[in-house]
Amino acid sequence: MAKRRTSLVIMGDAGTPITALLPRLSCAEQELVGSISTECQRRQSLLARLVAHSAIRNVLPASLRDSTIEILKGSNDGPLALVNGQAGVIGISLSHSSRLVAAVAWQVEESESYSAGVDVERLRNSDIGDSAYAFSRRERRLIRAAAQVTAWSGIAAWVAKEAAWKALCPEPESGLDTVEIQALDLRSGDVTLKPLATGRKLCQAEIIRAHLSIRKGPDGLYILGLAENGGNTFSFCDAVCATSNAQYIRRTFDLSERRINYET
Amino acid sequence: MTPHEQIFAVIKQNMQIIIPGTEGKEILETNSMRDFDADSLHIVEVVSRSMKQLRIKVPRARLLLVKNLHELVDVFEEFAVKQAVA
Repeated sequence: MAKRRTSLVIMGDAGTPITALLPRLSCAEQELVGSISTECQRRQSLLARLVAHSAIRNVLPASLRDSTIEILKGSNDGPLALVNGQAGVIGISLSHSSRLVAAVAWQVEESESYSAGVDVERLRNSDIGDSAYAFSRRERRLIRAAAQVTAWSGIAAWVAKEAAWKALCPEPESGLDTVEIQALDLRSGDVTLKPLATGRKLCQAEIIRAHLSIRKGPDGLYILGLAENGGNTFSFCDAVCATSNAQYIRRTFDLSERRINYET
Repeated sequence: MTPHEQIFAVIKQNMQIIIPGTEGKEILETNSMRDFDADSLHIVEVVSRSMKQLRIKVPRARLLLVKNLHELVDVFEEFAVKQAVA
């Protein structure tokens, strides 16, 4: 069975003027970016789209690598990837935080239901791990235990949940109680989550696997979370785990071939 | 100060502590936290800390459709009244 092509691209914001980057988007994308109210978010949205274009080109067959790629808004408010105007060819998940953006793209196959989610957060002091609003009692216990490994266990748990939520491709009205963390191992970065309530209908398996890693960005350290919903024996989370301690400016992970391309 | 104003004051204070760049800026009820470049983690931190300080519990589902600070304060006030009556 051919391996599913999946690509993760992470990029630090090098400060390139937005006017120089905008022409790389389609008119529809520029309009979407232009409709965002703050300059910072417009910039993050633009960069996330460029990173998504890169991830998508990595997973397209060679014959389609020069295709027109657009990232528009889907019916569930999430990103929708169009390849030569056609949706449903490639799946995409985006994230941005401060000066780091990430995108994961995967081939959509009729024979297998699969989706992925990515989230990044800049590391900072936070008491989110104590929040009964953000986490269930079970999750708060796991976070407290994981705090022995790192003071960032709360943010780490948050990133895992966000990535898992995105992997479910849920309706925007669904919230933090769509998934619950069942296991949180911050030494290995492995997280296991279970879909709850509305999440169960969207989940391809009984559990969602996620992997967390620390990444160095232009303005400090970040936690990156990747989650997958469905799939079979090949897991992109495994491939990311192998490189989680490396520093980078921009890295492209061709996870289906386990080849890492460095770009600066 | 009315209960509405008290709730708004607590939320504003937490925004200024948690969301970078908001200290000293004017925050109006017509604003949303996204207007100050808050990400999802900032928003949850502000809401969570405000609920704790105000001793109000608001179901997550009620907060998902809130569009600005005025609506957020309204929801907080609604549940503050419900808890007081219960």
